[in-house]
Amino acid sequence: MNDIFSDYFAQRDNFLTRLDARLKVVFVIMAIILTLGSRKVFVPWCIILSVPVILLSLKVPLKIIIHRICAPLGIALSILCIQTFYYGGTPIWRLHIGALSLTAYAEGLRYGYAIVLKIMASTSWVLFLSMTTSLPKLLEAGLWFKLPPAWIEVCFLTYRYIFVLLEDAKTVFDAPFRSLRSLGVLAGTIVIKAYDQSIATYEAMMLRGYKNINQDLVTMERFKTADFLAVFIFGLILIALGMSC
Amino acid sequence: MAMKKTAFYLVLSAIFCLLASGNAWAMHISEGILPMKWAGLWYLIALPFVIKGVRDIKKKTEINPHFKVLLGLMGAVIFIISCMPVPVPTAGTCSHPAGTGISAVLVGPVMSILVTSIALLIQALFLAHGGLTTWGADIVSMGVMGSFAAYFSFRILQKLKAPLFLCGFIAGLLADWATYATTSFELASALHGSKSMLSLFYTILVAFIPTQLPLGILEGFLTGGMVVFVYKRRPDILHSLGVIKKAIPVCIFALGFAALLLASQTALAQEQGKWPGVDVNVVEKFAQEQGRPAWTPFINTDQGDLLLFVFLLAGAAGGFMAGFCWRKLFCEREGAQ
Repeated sequence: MNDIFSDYFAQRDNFLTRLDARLKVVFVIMAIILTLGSRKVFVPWCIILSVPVILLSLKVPLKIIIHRICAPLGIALSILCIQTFYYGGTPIWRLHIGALSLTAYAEGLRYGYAIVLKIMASTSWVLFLSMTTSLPKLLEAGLWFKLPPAWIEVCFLTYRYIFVLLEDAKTVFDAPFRSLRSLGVLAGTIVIKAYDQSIATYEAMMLRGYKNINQDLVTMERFKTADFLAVFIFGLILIALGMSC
Repeated sequence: MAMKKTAFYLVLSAIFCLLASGNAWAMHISEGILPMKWAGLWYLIALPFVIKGVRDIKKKTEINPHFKVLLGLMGAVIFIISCMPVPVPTAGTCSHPAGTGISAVLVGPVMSILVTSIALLIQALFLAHGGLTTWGADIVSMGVMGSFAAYFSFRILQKLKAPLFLCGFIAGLLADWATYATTSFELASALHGSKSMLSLFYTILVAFIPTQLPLGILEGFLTGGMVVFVYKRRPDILHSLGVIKKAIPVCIFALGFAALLLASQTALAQEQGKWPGVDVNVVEKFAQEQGRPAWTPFINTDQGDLLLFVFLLAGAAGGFMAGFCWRKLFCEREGAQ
């Protein structure tokens, strides 16, 4: 889990990780919206091919990129399959399974293919964001965008405790699995550990003078020259995407 | 014709299953699947629940100071449980539970939606599990539907005095199935094109059955087992989170009831004559106007101490019954608990 948790790569120092998180968030959200609205087939293809190249240049292992893309790809292929056999009126080929025949339609195939491309292109954008921006930076940007501080605070705590509980969960799940009852015991153990940990953490936080997170604590840096350059490049990409819609 | 159609959907679903079985992330709708208008609609539906959750944090933190930290940890628990691969023998693959059954039972449905939204965001960003545009749809299916299904089933069964394991089991089971039914609906509503939405909904639903039917049962065991385990080891956790109400001693109940009875009798005695009932004011009055005055009752309990005697008899019979069944009513139940 730690390997595929792509936040790890966002901790590295390179041109893209140094860019302001606010810029990247706005860019990726707009890019996803424009990609979904795109009518040209080559646009998603360009994104699908170029994002992994950018990530490889940042020395993200190919195995990790493939691993991350595999899950949405499986779902995308299922959607393609359903659409091909389900939707349309122009038959392209028939599949005979015993007495039953399935007909694939041209319209369904086209529609499914477009969905597959959009899924993979949007996933590539998210991959780009997550591999270049760590969650704490994203949450700080969220606080700057006036997201509720309480939500951000719980998000921070969740992020912190995923790694703590992962270790505990690993120990618990490595224990021999005897029966269905063991499942409950495993989950119960994690819940008890989580509860005790929450009390201990709260006390420790109070002793260290912790106060609630609020907008005043946002320490976003001012935009640098590299950020302005990024705005220009991102702007060009967005205009190109917008023209394809 | 109907048989052929059913067979067609079954074969289509089987293909869907074979393709989807390669990964364990079928519960979340992937990035880019939903068209923008549908993605926006699901965002709008999810938003009020998340806002309500954010507002409730403050109130809950005032009662329980470490509640916010607990929520953070609960988010991590959901994250881990919904990433936990569980082997599904019928489909020959791995899938994963929702985890919202556990959180809904422990921290309530609204807080469960809040932590689910956080777990889903982190999964979407860093594991390609779900997506940013489909975040709203995923919150509705896993957070809203899963949590409410779990919470209400748990509470209803608790009211019906069902065993704790059964309450948790049904909560986990329904949380999982409700999530998948909603995911199927979300996919079908967005992707049906010019064809019937219902038929695509059934296709996707049938496709989920080989993995989700057994997985729902497994999640039931997970949630039920968790509640019982925590109750046995650390009942204070369930009491402090309000999952199980502390048993109020019978004597407090009896004293309260007696005080209420006494107060009502005193008030009645003071108000005697001031507030005649609807029978006297309306029914008797109109009956009299129509020439149908009230008859003298065949058994007139107003005469002598007859009413008192009847109450005495009822009390004695009730007391005898309660005494006769005392062990069954109280001792055995306590022992079982």
